[in-house]
Parts: sequence; structure tokens; C-alpha cells
Amino acid sequence: MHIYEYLFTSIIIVLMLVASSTMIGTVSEPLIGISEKEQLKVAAQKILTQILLNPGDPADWGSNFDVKAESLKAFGLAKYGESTCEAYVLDPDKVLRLNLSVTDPLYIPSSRVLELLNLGYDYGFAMELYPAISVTVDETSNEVYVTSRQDGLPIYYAKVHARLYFYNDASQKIESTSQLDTTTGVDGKCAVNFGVSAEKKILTLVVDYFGIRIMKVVNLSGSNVKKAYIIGNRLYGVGDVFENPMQIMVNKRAGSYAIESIAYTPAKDIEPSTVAVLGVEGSDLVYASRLPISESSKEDRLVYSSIEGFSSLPFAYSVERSVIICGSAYNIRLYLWRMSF
Amino acid sequence: MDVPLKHVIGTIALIGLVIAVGLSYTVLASYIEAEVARTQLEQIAEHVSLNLVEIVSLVNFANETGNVQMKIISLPSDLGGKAYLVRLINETGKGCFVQAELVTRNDVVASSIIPINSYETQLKLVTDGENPGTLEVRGEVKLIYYSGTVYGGDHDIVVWASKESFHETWAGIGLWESPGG
Repeated sequence: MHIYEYLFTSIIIVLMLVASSTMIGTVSEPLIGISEKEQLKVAAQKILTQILLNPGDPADWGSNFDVKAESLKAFGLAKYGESTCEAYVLDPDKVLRLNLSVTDPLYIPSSRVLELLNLGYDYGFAMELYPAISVTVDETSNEVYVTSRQDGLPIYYAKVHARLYFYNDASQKIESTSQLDTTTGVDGKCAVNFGVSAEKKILTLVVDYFGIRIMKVVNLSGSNVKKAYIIGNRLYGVGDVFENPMQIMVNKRAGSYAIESIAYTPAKDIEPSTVAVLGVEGSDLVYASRLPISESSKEDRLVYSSIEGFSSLPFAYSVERSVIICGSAYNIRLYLWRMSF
Repeated sequence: MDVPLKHVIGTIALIGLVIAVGLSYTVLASYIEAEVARTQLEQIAEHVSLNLVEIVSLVNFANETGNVQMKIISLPSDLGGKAYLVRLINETGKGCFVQAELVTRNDVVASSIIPINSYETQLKLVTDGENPGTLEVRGEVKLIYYSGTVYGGDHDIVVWASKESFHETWAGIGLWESPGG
């Protein structure tokens, strides 16, 4: 054999190794890729199950002011009842504590949630919570329009019940209009005009589309109204020095909804069915809402993420479930991604 | 017959190259095989931990003391002819997780976290190293033989959870078998 023949044979042998290795890698790579996505899917389902079906530990951590982030032992958002439990019913107090200002002592940071869910540095997550039906309130020329949209399409014949509460400067009291009941048109819109020109006003809305109910308490006065929260049976973020305080409730009667108000005594507990408390502090209208994410017409979405500002990453896997909070239908979407590969 | 020295060197070099290529191929194929097995083990571990979380949620939801719930989980009997183990581990700093590993190769191992911090919560997991035992389920003849480790080839592998008291839930993995095997 000539020296070139040895070299040629060697090159062929090496090429055979490279080719066969590449082929093995090419064949196994997609299988491993698909499998990793499947694992992420299962992991996302597992974490969402833990979040939605477990109340956490202590079970009343949402309304228990003594439980701070560091004393929370297990994370879960399910509503806890000693006698009755309903699947996929979330505790509004627990959800609210994810939506407070990051400097608030009751706020639960996502780093603590990562720790409690044992995710450590392996995974990142984001939770998105939004109403099952999109209800937007557009205030133009002192008129309120309600648009119901689902998946971007207008919803026809959604029942809309609305009542306006406003601060009357002359009487220095909170007054309300009578309830207005209407339905959306083919364009998904309906006009809800109360003809009230008060500066400080709060709109309470109930939208019902064949059993899918959305409640909203909307501040129509921007910074003219002070904002607080209802956590458990107490007010949070405002003092108890109220004049003419009232509790707003939504009651179902004879297949329809009635938005009603009763007096509130600050020293006493807030009724469990109360969705908002209104009061006057000085010349300010104060409103506290139990609904965790519908305080404003624009902010109808809660995003809670382990990476500030990111709701999802391109390689994240998402799982979605329908849940009930305070009788309103919401969708919760969990994005899960691996931090290391 | 005289053979030129260059031919001897060339032939030896070729033989050496063939052996080296053969070894490289074996190493590479073994690595890829291990990666595929690890991926399959990860799937198994994720499947077990998902079912464990679901059964714990179910028992906590029922909120009835003495309530034992179990679910038979379907797992492959082997991975490409290789036996594997499923373990429930509670490790300081890492928390609770399900680990699946090949019996013949301890380095081929995969784990899946259980999203509950078992050190602090009212959930107690029967993990690897703890004493095994048995559990009765609603008067059934078969029993749950629970332990922190199960062999993947076993029939009727179960995840189980039991509400021991108002504040305590026990959970783990085991086998669903008649007394005496």
C-alpha cells in the first residue's frame, strides 16, 4: 500500500465515526427536546395543582395579618373552609397579597414563593390572572360604556347591572343612583349613562354571560378617590375614621343581580359577601375593594412573576385553568420555564 | 519476504485507529444512551411527583381524618431492558423530590421536585430511609406496602396520602399488594 492509501483509509474511518455520531445525535435530539417539553408541561400542571387546590400553610394566611412572607410555610391560593371546600375557588385575600405594593409588609415576594414551591434556582415562573370575560369601562363625556369581549370577539346579550356611588359635595354624603340593568348589543357594547356630574364616583358593575359572572368596582375619578383594600373582615391601607361608611354587596335574586349597600360600623367585621366599602375621610371619598384585580378599568390583569417585568419567556410552557374569586370567573395562566439546561 | 517498515507502521496505525474509533463510538453511544435514559427517568419522576401532589390535594380537600386515598400509577417495567428505582427523598437544602435512577448505573439519575416544603408544613412524606409499613384502604383485602423506595418493575405501584389528623397529612409511594405477596 502506498502512504496515500493509508491516509485515505484513515480519513474514511474517521469520517465514518463522525457521520455515525452525528446521525445518532440527530436521531436522539428531537426525542430529548420533545421529552423536555413534556416534562415542563407535567411540572407546570403539578405546580398549578399545588397553587390552586391547596390553601397553603397556615390555611388562613391571606387574612391573617400576623403571617408575613417569612412566616408563610406553604404556598397555595385555594380558599379554605373547615366544613366546605370547592375546587378551583381562590381566596381573594391571598390573591390580593400578591398584588400589593412590593414595599407593603403583607406583600409576598415571588422569591419566597419560589422557595416554598421548592423551585429554587431551577425554574422560573409567572402567573397571569385575568377575568374570563374582558369588561372595559370607557368614560367619555360623563358616560360609561361597557364592552364585553371574549377572545377578542364582542359578546352579544351579556347582562350588565350597574350602580354608581358618588360623593355629593353639597350634602357631604355618599349617594347612589338606582340600579341600571341592560344588555350588550351585537358590537358587545352598551351605554350606561347615569347623568351624574360628581367629581368623586365609583361604579359597581356585574356582567353575567350565561352564568359567567364578572364583578368590577371601578374608580371613575382617578386620584380624587382614596384607595384601600378589604383583607379578611378588616379594612387595610386606611384608618377607621369614616363618615357614612357603607358596604356594597351583590346579591342574586330571582335569576338577576341586585347591587345593594348596607351601613358599615367600622369597629365591627365586614360582611363576607361585601365586595367594597365606601366612606368619607375629610373631604375624600375612600373606597376599599375585596376584588383583587379590578380596582381600575385599565388594570384588569394581575401579573406575578419571578423575573420582574416578565410575564413569560419564549421557551416557557403555559397551563391555563378557570377559577372563581369572589363569585367572579377568572382565568389563571401559569408560565414555567427552566433557568438552567 | 521483506516488508517495508512504512507498511508495518501504517498497518499498526490503521489497526490502532480502528480500535480508537470503535472505542470512541462506544463511549459516544453510551453517553447518548445514558442521556435518553435520563430523559425517560425525568419523565417517570415528574409523573410520580404530579400524581403525589394530586393525591395530597385530594386528601386535604376531603379534610376527613383517617381518609386514605391511593392511585395506581402506570410506569414502564424497565428502560430499554434496564431496571430502575423510584425514591422519595427529603434532603436538607433541596427539599422533597422524587428521584428515579438506573439500578446498574447510579450516575444515570433524574429528579423532580415536590412543590411543598415538607420540613415546615403539615405534610409528612415517607421518604427513603424511613421505616416501611402497611396501610389499609377502606376495608380492601389488598394493602398499601409503603416505603421510600420502589422498584420500577413492580406491579401496581401507588402514590398514597392519608389524613392522620386535622393538622397532619402523610403521603408517599408504595405497592398495592395482597398480604403475603
